[in-house]
Amino acid sequence: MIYANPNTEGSLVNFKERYENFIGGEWVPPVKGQYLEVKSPLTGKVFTSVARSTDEDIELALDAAHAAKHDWAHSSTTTRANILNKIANRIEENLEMIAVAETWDNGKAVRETLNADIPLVVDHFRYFAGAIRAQQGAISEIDDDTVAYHFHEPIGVVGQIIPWNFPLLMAAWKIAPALAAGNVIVMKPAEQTPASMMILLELIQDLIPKGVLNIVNGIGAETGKSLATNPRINKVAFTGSTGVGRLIMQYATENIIPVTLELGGKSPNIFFPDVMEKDDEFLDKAIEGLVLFALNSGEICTCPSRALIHEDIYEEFMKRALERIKAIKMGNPLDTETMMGAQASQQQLDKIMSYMKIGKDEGATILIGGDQKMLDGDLAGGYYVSPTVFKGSNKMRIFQEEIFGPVLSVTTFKTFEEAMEIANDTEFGLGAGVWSRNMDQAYRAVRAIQAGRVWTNTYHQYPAHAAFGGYKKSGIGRENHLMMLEHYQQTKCMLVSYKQTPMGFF
Amino acid sequence: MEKLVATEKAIQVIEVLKRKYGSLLFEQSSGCCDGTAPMCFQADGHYISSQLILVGEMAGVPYYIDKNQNEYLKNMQIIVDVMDGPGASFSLESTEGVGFIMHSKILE
Repeated sequence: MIYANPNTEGSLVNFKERYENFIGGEWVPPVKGQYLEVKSPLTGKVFTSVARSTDEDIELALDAAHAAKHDWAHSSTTTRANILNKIANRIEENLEMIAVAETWDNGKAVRETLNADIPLVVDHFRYFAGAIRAQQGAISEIDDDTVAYHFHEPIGVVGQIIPWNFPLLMAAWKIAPALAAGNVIVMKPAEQTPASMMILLELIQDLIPKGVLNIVNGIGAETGKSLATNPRINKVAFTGSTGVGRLIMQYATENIIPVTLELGGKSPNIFFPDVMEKDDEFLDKAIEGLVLFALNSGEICTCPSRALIHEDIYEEFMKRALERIKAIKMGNPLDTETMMGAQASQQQLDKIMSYMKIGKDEGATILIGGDQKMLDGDLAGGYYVSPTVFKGSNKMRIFQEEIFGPVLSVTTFKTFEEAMEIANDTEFGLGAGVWSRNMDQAYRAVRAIQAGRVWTNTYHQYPAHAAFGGYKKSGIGRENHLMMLEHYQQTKCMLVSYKQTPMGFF
Repeated sequence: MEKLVATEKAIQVIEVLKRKYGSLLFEQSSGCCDGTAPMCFQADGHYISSQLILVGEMAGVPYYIDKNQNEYLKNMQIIVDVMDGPGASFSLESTEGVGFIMHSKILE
């Protein structure tokens, strides 16, 4: 089926002409009255606008957050968990509508928002609702008379800045653990994709105590910087590039606050020769594993954007993979039959297309794609790129730089050692994939790869309760797991002496 | 061939940003949604990592890249250009609705 475009007859979603900031439970216009236009990547046309916030707006949001901080921090974990569960339920009840809004805002195919993004958002809130109720402090019995009690306490007011590739899922990854742990939030969504968050907020605003979650829109260099440098935040969490990640860390040094960062990747996806030992479902799964570079139009930090294929199977394996890539159906992202949608912005389209030239200039061979995809009608102004595969070598820019598009760079290896060397020859260490029928070999590969998440005989699964985060320049911290709670908590140690006599020093 | 060049359009944007924000510097970012992009920051208060290499100046503004990135870019000329529409989100030119982009050519 094809969902109707938002704001047309029969659509599940109607965006307002303009959205204010969400501060203290109210919709508050930006102090300076400036707004940013938001375009849909499907059509390239403006469909709404959001606040272009300044220091003054961040101060308002922090006023609201600080006013709400005490009560939220002292609410019971049951209260917080119940609210997170209610948010999850409300999202689930409106899943289709939210999925359409997300597709319209970001460009990704609706089959992904319906089956991955939004169900994962729902599950994430439920997971942290459960995790916070199950979390325990720790007691250390130092000696017969001395006991250290360790309590988890909220950090306080946290600043969160998220990217445009999964506008709602990245928001959920940050909001759910922070709220569960008793923090209040000031969040800045990405300026490219702020609109689906507005739809979501309208839906759940009655469930959240005033000031506990504040959303302020604007440009990174203005609103983002204002938030990240403000002495009234106690922690900052960021997902984005290494350049900004380093900047966020610099800002954090000014106030000595903790940061968690989820940065880039250039994930190797390694296919050992035994995947082709049989022509069976496992081989079929492995071929799909290579083609997953096209998921989310390639706009994922863990995009398996470097395929390392053993030279003995390269010809036959790639032949079959290319057939599968050729079968990727592009078209209206709101059509449930469409397999790959639009890129998120004109700028992203331009960058991806510049890599087509870079790859060719460096001597890589295009095996498929390489062109901008032109669609008809309404979609003629949208940002579409054909899934593309380059064959080349790991020192090329297309192997070293994160393209953030449906562009795969393929190379071959001869030995296990060479595969590991190529896999680790990158500044990043976020994701990786290992495909082998021999689990001993897979195990050794997984342990040798410097990356936080190594999918083994699978790829691109993001279940809650599986830790996600980077080695090397891919970041600090582990999201998607209860260990994220501690990234949003202080440890209070209460050290008690039960001895009735003095220590004897004075 | 020079290691670093800026297009006419890039120079114009840099001049606008200098007037608005004062002393500037560029750091080449990498990864995630911003990708490998020239990021323009205010020089005042900005810590320049010892892992950065100065590759040149554009309109008097220094351009730094990471040592690791320099490994595979050392035989490349870096060309800084501007595209329409906001660029990397924390980079100053995004406030002007444009984005710096880095092209490269093999150095002769």
